[in-house]
Amino acid sequence: MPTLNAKILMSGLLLLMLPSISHSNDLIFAVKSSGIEPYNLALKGAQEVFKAKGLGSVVKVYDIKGDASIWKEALKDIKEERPKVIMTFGTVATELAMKDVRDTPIVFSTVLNPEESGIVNSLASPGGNVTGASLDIPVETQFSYILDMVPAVKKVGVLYNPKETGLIVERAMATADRMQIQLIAEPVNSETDLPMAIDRLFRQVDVLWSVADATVFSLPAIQKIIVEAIRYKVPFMGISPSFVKAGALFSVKWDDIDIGRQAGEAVVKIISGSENISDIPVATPREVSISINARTASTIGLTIPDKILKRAEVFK
Amino acid sequence: MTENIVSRFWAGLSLVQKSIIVGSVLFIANAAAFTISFGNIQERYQINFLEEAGTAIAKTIGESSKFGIITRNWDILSAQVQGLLTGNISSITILDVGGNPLFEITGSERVVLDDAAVRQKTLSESPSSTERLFDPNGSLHAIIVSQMIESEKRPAREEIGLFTEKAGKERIGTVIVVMNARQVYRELAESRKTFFYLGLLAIAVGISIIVIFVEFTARPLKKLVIATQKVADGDLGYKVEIDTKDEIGTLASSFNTMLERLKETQEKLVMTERLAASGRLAADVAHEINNPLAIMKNYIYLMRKKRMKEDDPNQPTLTIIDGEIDRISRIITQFTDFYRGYQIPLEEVEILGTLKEVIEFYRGKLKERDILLEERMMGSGKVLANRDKLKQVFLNLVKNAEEAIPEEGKIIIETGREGGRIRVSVTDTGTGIKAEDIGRIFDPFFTTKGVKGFGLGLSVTYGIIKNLGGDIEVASEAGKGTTFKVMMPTI
Ligand SMILES: Nc1ncnc2c1ncn2[C@@H]1O[C@H](COP(=O)(O)OP(=O)(O)OP(=O)(O)O)[C@@H](O)[C@H]1O
Ligand SMILES: [Mg+2]
Repeated sequence: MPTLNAKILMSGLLLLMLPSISHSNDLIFAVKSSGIEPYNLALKGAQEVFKAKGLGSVVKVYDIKGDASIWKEALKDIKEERPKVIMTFGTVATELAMKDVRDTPIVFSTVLNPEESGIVNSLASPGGNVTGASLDIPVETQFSYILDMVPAVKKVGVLYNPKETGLIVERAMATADRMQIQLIAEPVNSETDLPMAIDRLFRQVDVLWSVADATVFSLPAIQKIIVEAIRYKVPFMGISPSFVKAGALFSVKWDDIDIGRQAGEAVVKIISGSENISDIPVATPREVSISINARTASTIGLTIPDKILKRAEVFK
Repeated sequence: MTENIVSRFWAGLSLVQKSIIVGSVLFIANAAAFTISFGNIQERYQINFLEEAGTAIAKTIGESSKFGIITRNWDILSAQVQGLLTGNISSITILDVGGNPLFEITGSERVVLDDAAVRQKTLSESPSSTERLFDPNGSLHAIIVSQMIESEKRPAREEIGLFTEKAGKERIGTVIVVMNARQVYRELAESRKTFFYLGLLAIAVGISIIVIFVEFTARPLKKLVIATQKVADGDLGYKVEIDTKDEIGTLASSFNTMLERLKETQEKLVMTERLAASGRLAADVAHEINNPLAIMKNYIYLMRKKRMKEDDPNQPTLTIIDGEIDRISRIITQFTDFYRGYQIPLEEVEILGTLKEVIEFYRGKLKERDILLEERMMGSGKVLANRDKLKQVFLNLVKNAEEAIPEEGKIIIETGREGGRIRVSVTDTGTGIKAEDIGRIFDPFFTTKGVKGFGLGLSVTYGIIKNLGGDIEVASEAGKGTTFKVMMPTI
């Protein structure tokens, strides 16, 4: 029984041993977790890269609609046609592919917190047959945006389920220390804890930060948190522009197409054989911008600095 | 052999006993059929109920056990599952996605299962399934219900930001509920026993009802039988008192009708006898009546001749009274003649001469009525008789002939000898006698002439002729005429 490392080594060697790149044989399969827009945009970005580099476009695109049984069918094709690289879009597709495919490089995109999900060992050296482009905007970047929005900020609050996002919050604590911000983390073990947690936290913090925690941000809870943040007049930094649209004060955002481009570049590197997949670090968003909800800002009585307003996407 | 015994036994039973036996057999067969079919329905119902209960329990556990499974909290799981454990449940097992048992609780009577088959079940894609396990002898052994336990899938992290929390559900395990069917059979056996006793009770009640019913039906029959025996013993006055509307009632009423007819016929017979007896009696009485009549008549005569003038206004009344006395006397005399005929002294009487006397007596009257008289005297003879009586005979015949002719017609009087006998016949072209009356014309008091006739003429005639050893015959055709023929032995 060969160990995982041995396997990876072997597949790496195999790739290295390929004498030349035959373009017509460069099969790339794309597996989308679902049909939502961010995945489509990312795929578009990847295609752009392939075109520019003279590679053929992605041969086959699968939308598994979040369903493992549809994935099974895609897997059959993969086993038969043996593509050079499998591109995955979203966490669901990535995890399924990682579970069933060990001998083909998997390049993901549009995945948030791949480290915490266990998709990669670390962003710097992902390990295994996997790499890709994550949506993780570094916490430092996020906090700097908080400082831009609310320069007088002292206490930043966050709601989290220790079992789910404990690691992220722990690391964020260190970052906050460094930036001389006090991060107050309020644990939410189940939905029922939420009202109490909100009440406790929102009274004492200047800004509410957020991590992608499924326990905290279930659909009904998102609405509640947004509403409560406005009632407590706490500037709320949401996870994505969707949050801002729904009433959160602001969020940082990445460029969906550029995420795809980053993944596409990793694919090119693998196919050209210029780099071993295990050596390709996970990319993080290169182009970060800010979204602001102007109405929320006026409701909670916050004046947004002009220099931010200029480069922000503003929802009115 | 047995057939013989059975048929002999059967033949020896009364109708009532037979009815009771047939009714009871039918009733028991009916009850048995009902019991069996009810038992089957009950079995099916119980098994379906068991299956439904198992499915419901599996579903409930599938819903409630998620938290315990996700958190691997056996205390919570145990508390939830324990609360659902009933006598019918053999075991409840919760397996993880891989088919490994996480938790199991066993009921009072565990059904041993093939673990590999159970594991297979957990890997199957179907969300729920039901399987019935049968014993080698075909009776249900257990019902295995498996139910997939699903949990809301957590959205992928990036999906939180995208508000796409429609991740759906994912399987987190399987619950397998094994229902013990043996319990059902035990309960069925128990209820069958109850049903059996109830059935016995029903049969007892049913048979009693049949017996009572048959008794009620048979009672009129018994009455009929008694009536038949009574009638056979000669009691015609007996009446069967059955007023049921059924066939027995009809039979009873026709039996009663028959009895009435029988009684009528018998009464007629009795009356004829009585008539004969009373006739004789009347003859005796007549004598006793004649005497006071004679005295009355004498007093009337004396009253009219000696105490009254000839123009007394009471004279016509007395004439009428005198006439009526004569009439009574005549009737009585005729009676007496009829019944005492044989006592009258006999003499040699020449027929033709006697007949001529009667014809001469009647000739005027016939001429008056334009009735033709034809005499065909072709023989004569002497007979031993009473001259007056014989005259009476011929007179009656001629009188009847004359009375039978409505306006005009003919009377033929004929004589002739036939062997040692003389024949006298009187034929008329009158109305004739109706066929239905011909048998009764010789009866005393039979008349078609209303108040004008007494109906004694022919009966007296018959008596006289029979007395002298002769015969009288009649031949008649309605609308054409009648012939009376008298035959008398000659000396
Ligand atoms: N020659 C006849 N033609 C038709 N009917 C006759 C004749 N003779 C007798 N009968 C029928 O027979 C009945 C009986 O006759 P019968 O002489 O006994 O009595 P009657 O003539 O009626 O009365 P009565 O006592 O005065 O003679 C008559 O009433 C009549 O109907
Ligand atoms: Mg007469």
